[in-house]
Amino acid sequence: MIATFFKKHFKRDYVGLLFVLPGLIFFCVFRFWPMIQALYVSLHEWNLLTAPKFIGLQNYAQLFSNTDLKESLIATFKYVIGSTIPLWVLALAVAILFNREIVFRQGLLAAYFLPLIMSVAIVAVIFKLLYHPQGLLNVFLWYRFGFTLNWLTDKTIAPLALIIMALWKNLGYYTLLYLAGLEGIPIELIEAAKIDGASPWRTFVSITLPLLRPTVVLVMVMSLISSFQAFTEQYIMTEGGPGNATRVLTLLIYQNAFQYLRMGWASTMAILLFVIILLLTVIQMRLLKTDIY
Amino acid sequence: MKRMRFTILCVIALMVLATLPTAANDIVLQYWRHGDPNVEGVNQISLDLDAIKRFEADHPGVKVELVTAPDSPKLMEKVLTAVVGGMAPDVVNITSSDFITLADSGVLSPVDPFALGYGSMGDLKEAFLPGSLDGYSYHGKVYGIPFELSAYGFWINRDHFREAGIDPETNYPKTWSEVAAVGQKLTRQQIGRISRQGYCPLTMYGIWGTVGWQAMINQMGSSILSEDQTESYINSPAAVRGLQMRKDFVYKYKISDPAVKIDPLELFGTDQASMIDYGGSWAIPILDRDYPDVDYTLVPYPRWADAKVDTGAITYGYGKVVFTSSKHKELSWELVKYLHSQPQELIKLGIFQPVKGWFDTPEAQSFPYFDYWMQELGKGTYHIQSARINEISNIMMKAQDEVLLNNGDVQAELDKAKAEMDKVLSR
Repeated sequence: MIATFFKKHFKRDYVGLLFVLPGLIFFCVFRFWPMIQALYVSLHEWNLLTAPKFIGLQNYAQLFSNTDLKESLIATFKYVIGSTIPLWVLALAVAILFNREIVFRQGLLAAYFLPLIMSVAIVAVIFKLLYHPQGLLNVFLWYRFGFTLNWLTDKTIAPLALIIMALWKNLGYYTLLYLAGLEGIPIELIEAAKIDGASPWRTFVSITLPLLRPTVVLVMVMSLISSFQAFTEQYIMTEGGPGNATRVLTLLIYQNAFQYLRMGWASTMAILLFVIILLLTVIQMRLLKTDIY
Repeated sequence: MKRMRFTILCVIALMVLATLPTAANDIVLQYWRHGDPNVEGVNQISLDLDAIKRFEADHPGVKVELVTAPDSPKLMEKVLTAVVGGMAPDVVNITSSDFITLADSGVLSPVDPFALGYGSMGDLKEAFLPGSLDGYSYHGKVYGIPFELSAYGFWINRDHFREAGIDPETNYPKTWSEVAAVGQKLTRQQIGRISRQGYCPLTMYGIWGTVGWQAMINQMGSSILSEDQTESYINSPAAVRGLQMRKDFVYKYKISDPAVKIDPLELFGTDQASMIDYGGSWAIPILDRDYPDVDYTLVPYPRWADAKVDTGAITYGYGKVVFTSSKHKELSWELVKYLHSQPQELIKLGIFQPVKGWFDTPEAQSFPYFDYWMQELGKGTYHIQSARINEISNIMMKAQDEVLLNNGDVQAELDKAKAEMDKVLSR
């Protein structure tokens, strides 16, 4: 019966399906099934050590009143906005710069992409040294401007310090994506615009940007998702502090699941995170009206 | 084709055989602990491995698998995941703080005094220092055996004292007010901020970041939680006074910089702190190995001038527990006996096992500041023991951060903390 079903519906792709089957199984077992499990656990009160107790939608009702979650959502959105929007602009600017003949292009490109191959943990340790109260940044600030900052322990500056680190770490990667997109734009179109007397800005707005739209969407979606999922940076640099100023949602989920043993509540917040990312991705794709996928 | 089929069958058969236990090792005990197995020289893990070797030699057919995690929080995560997956280890070395979480969930097996070599439970209780089993008892039953009992000391840099014209042998600070006064003479500045803290209290490492404050609270005869753990006393006068003093160290006396979130031992070892309240007896081998040039000494942990209770730092420890899911509980407790059988070697690492008798041995008595440790451990109060310890500690850390880092109002922050803590306790 299954064979008939496959023959009827997947005539030509039957062999292809076999090729993707290992990946599909992996996805179902290690990605899809845990998602279903998270949904199931979110309907329970469960401390991991004793049997889960069904509590219906009680955890979901808490979503609107829990102060920890509210604080964490604010910290998360601050981090996401700070580490994505400037990145979109900066990465595009750097890509445009590298998309022309400049001196030491290859060397500079390598320097920009270097942070990309470093693990977040190593980057975090380097930045911890930079942000040390007696570190390089404060020494510079003191001798140049006569003041120092508590980079990782001031509740208004610590989120910014993490954003700066994220921008430094991710700039190379998204520049690379933009560069690939820019190189795919036919040079004839740019030259035709030049011949027609279009200014560089006009060419950029009317030709480059529209043709780059699929890449823009890709960069936006990918950076948004990865920023929402950021965990290691906050975990290593600040452990969510000072106070709870940098306790992003992923860290709050981790704390609740493995430190407070509130697996049901942690799963509910994980579902919320999933819904937020999904909604933002759909909105972004709609706004930019692209059918690249 | 036939040859191919035969080869595949052979491979499958070998894979199946590999999963079967061999006849000689048909019992495998899983023993988990924290630590780095790659550290060279004598350390806790190498001593455990020696004990395991002896245990295996005395128990043919039994094999012990040692599994390590980098630190105690990671170990606890590993244990929880294993319990959920139905693959809990047989024996685990856990902190007294994590103990309650496991005991409260009913996954621990009560101690077996006979397997541990005692004639009765009474004999077992008699063998340990008074109070040391409290950290591993739950609802009147003992579920764990303390492996290590520790309390943080108060360490001072003698060179810094002499440089400031203070005699480190006699004029060390005895009260918290004296810590402030002496600290001011020891503090140094660079680029407009403190480069050498006169006193660096521990304000990091999760649940440990507030133990100094807790000691101050205990010294005034108060506590963090009510005895039945249904109410928090975090905004009590004693708690307010303790946090206010810590705030004064930063803003009034300017001897501490809480923005420096670096291990106080490292700061102490690198001349960036003159007095610290972090590091138990285990810190001595570390200081001697990593910072041999530091001329340090240990002095009695400061008290309030009007302290109501003569207690120093918070005590805590590590102990062995056996899980109810273990198929070999008796054997597991016997393994614990072997793992705990070398206190004279452990003392070389600065680890005090709270077992009576061996304290009279020359090894124990020749350990630096032996009398001090004995006195302080005997007077200590155990670190908070609650299944909600992580949440409680996080609330305390949040209040402490707000006060120390952002100059927050002590009473207002602690009133907020109490409301949050009571909510957690009522769940």
